[in-house]
Order: sequence, then structure tokens, then C-alpha cells
Amino acid sequence: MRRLFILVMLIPLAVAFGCGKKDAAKAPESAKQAAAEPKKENQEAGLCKEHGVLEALCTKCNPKLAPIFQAKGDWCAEHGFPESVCPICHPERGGKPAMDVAGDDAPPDGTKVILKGNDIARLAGIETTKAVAGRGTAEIIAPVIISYDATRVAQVTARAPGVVKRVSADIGSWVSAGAPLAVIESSAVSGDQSRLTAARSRVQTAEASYRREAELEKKGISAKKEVQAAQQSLRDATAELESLQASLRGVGADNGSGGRYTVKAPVSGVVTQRTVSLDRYVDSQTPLFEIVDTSSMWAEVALPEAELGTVKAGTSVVVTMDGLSGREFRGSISHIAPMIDPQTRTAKARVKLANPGGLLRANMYGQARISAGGSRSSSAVPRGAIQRAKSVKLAFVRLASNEFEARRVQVATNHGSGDLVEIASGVEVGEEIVVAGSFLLKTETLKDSIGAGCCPEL
Amino acid sequence: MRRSILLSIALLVSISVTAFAAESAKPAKDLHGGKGAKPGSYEDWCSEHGVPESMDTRCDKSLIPAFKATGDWDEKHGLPKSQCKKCNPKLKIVRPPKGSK
Repeated sequence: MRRLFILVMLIPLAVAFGCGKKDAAKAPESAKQAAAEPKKENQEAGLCKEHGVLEALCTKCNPKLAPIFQAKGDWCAEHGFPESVCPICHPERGGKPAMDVAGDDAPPDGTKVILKGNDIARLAGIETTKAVAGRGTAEIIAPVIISYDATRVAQVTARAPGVVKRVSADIGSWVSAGAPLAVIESSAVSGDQSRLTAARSRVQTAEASYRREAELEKKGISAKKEVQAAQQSLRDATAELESLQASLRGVGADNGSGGRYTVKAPVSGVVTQRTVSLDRYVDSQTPLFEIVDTSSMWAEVALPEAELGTVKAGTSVVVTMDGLSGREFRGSISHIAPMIDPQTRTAKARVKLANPGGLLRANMYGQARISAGGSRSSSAVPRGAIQRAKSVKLAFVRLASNEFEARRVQVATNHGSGDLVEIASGVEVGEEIVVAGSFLLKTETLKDSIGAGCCPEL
Repeated sequence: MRRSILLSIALLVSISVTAFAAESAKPAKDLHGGKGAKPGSYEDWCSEHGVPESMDTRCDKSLIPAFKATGDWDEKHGLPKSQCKKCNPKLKIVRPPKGSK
């Protein structure tokens, strides 16, 4: 009872101390914020109305962001914005990136909390216990980004140059294989159709000539040589006719006239891009539509270099997406890239995922849980040791009598034995885990989020 | 009872001040790069986290969206991938030499 009272008193005191100290230092910033109040009123959905880009990425309002974009090569020097969201160069993007860039507001993995004095932890009621071996095998947790299955993407181009006369499909519409997408009027096709008509006529003439020569030969009037010449002419005319028919069939035109042909969908799927518009002249190089069969997608997993020895093609993977809470997609690794990204020190592994209902979308972010197998075992800790900071689960590991480290942990399952929770990654067996008083430590790491504004590592 | 409560409060105050006053005792200016330091210079360095101050998401959380937007973010550890020593234990981030601009 007394310990609880001490703990309850200690938390507000610690927080108040931090806030009071930093509030004074932050006074000028508060004044700036007050001055910027009218500007904020104009903001909606996180967009900086003054500069037309996402407020969190606005390099005009926060010039400190510029060196980061410049270092990554994502910089439009002409307009002073990141190239990827430059509202002048790419107005169609609306100043927003393709991915969610909001922070999770949880402390980074490895954030240390050092208490002043060796006995403070005991007085604050901090208690620890050793993480024990769990029942399951350890899992590797790696970030995932979803992309289209490249074997199911069709870039539809015009078969012959011409003018677009009808557009039958738009972005987002689902089309089945063979469905008409557009009608194009082409002078080249018109020429082929005219030549086809002439070729038909030549075939008829050659056929009549051959029959006549054959009849005359039977009567002994014509020589065999002339019959053979007529037969050869018939074969030539027929070959030309068939060639033109095949050419028009390949383009998608009928054997009539007018020079029009229909561009058809080569696969069933969703139209994801349309660059064609009415009355536009297109050549055979210009892509008109992109059609994607999204019934299966690829998950690109960034495997850390240190884990490559434990993962191989065929290893089963469970993927969960940030935007589809709780939904699991299962697959196996089909391919691991033969090279490592020199910057991130990760290798890309590909997992083919079935996509029923089209829930998975390209560029979605998620996490892959890969069964590491082998002799590694997961750890298990008491349920009370796990703290939640925003969307992240944390545990605190004691490094020294007065030193603690925040660890971002992945809980393997909530069905651990009794009061124990299995930890897939983040805590190793044998490490000293804080089981009482961890809320106090979490509060310290989150000072920044609750207004104290100081660096999380004390 | 009242005496015991008063004693507890006095004890807590002294504990709080000694335990969490650690930061105020830190030579903050020595650890963190100067505010006007040019990115990429010797002065632009956070000794506490061992990265350039202008790239330090632990000191300035407003930088996180820029790293995320450029694909340089490790969700698992809450750090830029290019700074994550947990993912890449051999990673060495070297402070620019004095006089570099």
C-alpha cells in the first residue's frame, strides 16, 4: 500500500519537474506557436495551405528537413521542395507522399533511462525478473512493402498508330480478358484493309485462271507448264491474302473497311493507369492502359543482413499490414535477392500473397513474421512487463542497477502459459526485465510526447 | 499517520529531484550540435547519439517524416535505417573533421 502511494506521488513529481524546467526554455517557441495560430486555422488534413505540401514535410516551414531530402537525392532545387512532393513539378500528387509518414511517438529501440543513484530504482518500486525460454521458436520481424505481382501486370499499347475514337475503360474499372478498352482509327490499318480487298480479288482471279488452264490441259489445248504457272499465281495470291488477314487479326481489326480496330484487355484485372484520351494521336510505342491482376500480390521483405543465415527460399512467412489491423496473410519466401542494399544493409525477399477481396494494395506497409527455426528459442516474460506506447509494445531491460533500456518487442502470442507472454523479438532469454515500475520508466521515455520536450535518454 | 505521509512526501521530493535532475546536470551544449551549425560540418554533431545533429530523430522528432518519406525508416526500431546499429552492428557513422564545411 505504502509502495503504491510512493509510486503514485513519484510520477507526477518527476513529470512536473521535467515540464517546469523545459517550459521556460520553450517559452519563445510557445510565442511563435501563438503567432502562427491564424496560419494553423487554414490547415486541413495536415496540408500546409500556404505551400501546398504535407505540413510534416514542408521544407519552407521547417527548413531543417531540407538537408535530409538533399542527402537522399530527393530534392527539387528549382522550387525548394522535396522532388517527390513538389507541388509545382508534380501537382497531381497533391503535395503528399505515397506512404504514411506520421511518427508512432514511441521511444526508439534502445532508449536508455538512467536513474541518478543506485538505490533509486528500489525506492521507486522497480522490480525485475529474468526472461525465461518460451515454447515457440523465435521469429524474425522485418518490414514489408506490398507491390504488384510483376507477372500479372499488362502494359497495353496501340497495335498501329492512329487516332483514338472511343475509350471504354477508366482507372479503377475491372475488365475481363478480351474486353474492349479503346477504338483507334488508323491509316495503316485502313491501307491493310484495302490491300486485303485487292488480295481477295486477286485470289478469285487466280483461282479462275487456274481452273480454266486445268480444263484446257484436259482437252489438250493448254500446256502443263501454263497450268503450273497459274497454280503458282493462285498460291502467291492466297499467301498474300492470309498474310494480310493475320496482320489485321493481330491488330484487332476486322476484315472490313474504315481502318478502325479495337484495343482489347490481354488479362483480367483492374485498370490502374490510363494515358489515352479521345481524339489523341497515339503511336505503337505509347502505353495506353496498365491492367493489373491483383488476385495475388508480392510482399517485398527487407531482411536484415544478420538474419540472412537463418532464412531461405521456402521459409513460411506471416504478413500483417499496418492498415489492416489483425488481418494475416500467409505465404512463403520465393526468392531472396543476391545483393544487399549498401545503405540499409538489408536484402529483399519476395513473398507471393493471395489477395482475396483486393485488400492488399501496392505500396502498403506492414510487417513480416518469419519463423527463424533452428536452435533459437523465443523468450517469455510476465504480462505486466509489457507496456504499450502508442502503437508500439515496450519492455524495459535492466542493464545496470540504475540503468534501463527500452526495447520495442514483438509479442508472438498472447496465449502464453499462465501469466507469461511470449516475445518473438526484442528480449533475449536471461535478460533482466522490469516487471514492476515499468510505467514510470515509460513515462520518462515519453516526456517529449507529454510536453516536457526533452531528449528521451536521460 | 499524517506524520508518516509528510515524511513520505519529503522523501519523494528529494528522490525526484536527485533521480530526474540528471538531465539538468548534463552539459547539454557539449552533447548536442549548435543550433546554427551547418549540416555536414564538424559542429553539426550529436555526441549523445553519435549522428549529425541535423539528422538526429531522437533529438528532433519533426525530422522523422522526412526519413519516412525517403524510405529510410526502420519501423521496428524507430530509427532511420541508415542509423540503425541494431540492424547493422557494423555501421560506423563518422563525425566530419574539424574545419569541414
